Amino acid sequence: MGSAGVPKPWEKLLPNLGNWTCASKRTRKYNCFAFAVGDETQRWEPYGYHWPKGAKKGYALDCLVEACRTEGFELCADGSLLEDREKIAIYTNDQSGFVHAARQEPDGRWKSKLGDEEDIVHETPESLSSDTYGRPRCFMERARKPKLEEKEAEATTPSASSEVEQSDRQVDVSNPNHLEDFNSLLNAAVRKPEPKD
Amino acid sequence: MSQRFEPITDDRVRGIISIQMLRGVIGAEQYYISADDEPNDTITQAAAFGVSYATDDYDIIKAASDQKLNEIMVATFADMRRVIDRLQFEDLYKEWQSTRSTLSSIVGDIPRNPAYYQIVGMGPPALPLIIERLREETKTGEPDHWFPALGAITRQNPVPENDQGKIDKMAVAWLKWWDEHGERWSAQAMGETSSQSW
Repeated sequence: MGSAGVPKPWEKLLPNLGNWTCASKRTRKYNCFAFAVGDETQRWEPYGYHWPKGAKKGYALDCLVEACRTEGFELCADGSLLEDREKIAIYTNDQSGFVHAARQEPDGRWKSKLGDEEDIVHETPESLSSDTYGRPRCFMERARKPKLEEKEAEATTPSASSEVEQSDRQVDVSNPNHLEDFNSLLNAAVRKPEPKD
Repeated sequence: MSQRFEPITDDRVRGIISIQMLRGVIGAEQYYISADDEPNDTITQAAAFGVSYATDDYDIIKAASDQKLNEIMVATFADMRRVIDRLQFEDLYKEWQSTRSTLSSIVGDIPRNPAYYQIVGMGPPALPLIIERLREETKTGEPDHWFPALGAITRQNPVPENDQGKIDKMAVAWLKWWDEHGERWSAQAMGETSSQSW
């Protein structure tokens, strides 16, 4: 149980934490919502901090869902691991709206920025269920970005299939929904077929 | 042991009233303001009026005229007010540090902390103290969550839209605002200037 080293003062606030490891130093430069969507340069918060343009402002769950949509996330059923999908969990408690967010790592574990504390890796979304963070209320997903080396390989040796896809499906940027088109195109390009039973 | 009190003169009355005013406003008992050269008599009269004092721990302030006395009173009062504000701020800051939840990711929750709430409630006198601390934090590490307090007290937001959320840049913007406008803003907020727009 726990991470090696001196116990953290916040551990007692997370009774379901189980195994965890520390993944960063303490910082206030970004918060869990920014971290969950991959932004470690700033704090995301509806008022006084960064909040995506066009996303509804407020602390209700749907406001954060809208904000995450601007980064290509869409609601999904659960936090099960899919190789080509990047998932986040959004936590709410009974007293207020969203209070925390965590993101899934490629190995299926989860990573969270804890307030002003460190980033940690934890086993499941439920590891952080507590009075402080409530519980995971909904999940969102987007296509997992390919690793850098894969991107470079694709850039230097485009495959025949990708050329076909590019010629078959072009994104019309004059369409106000072109970002959605782009996302669906991207999803189709990277999504692997579901395994058949 | 019995004490005998001399009749008081007008000057002494003025001095005693000054003591009572200071004591009533800031709870200070160690300052005496005397309009004449008989501080001991003034102190005695203060006791007669029920004003307690620490005989080993007071400053005697003398003035040659009413105007001078008033000037000294104003300056002394302002000095003492600043000292009291700083003490109050430091107490509240310590309380905030010891009671805050560092697990919260929502800065909007922080003003709910009673100590932080009271810092905001101090109003304009808290501003130079917050700025002082923000400046120090920016030099030595990361700025703390002072931005809600700064916004609430000043009703200003000097942070460019593209820098909202980038706390280092937010701190720089607030420090720049203070350096350029702080003195004027404080004077206006404290009612020392006319209500000119800026």
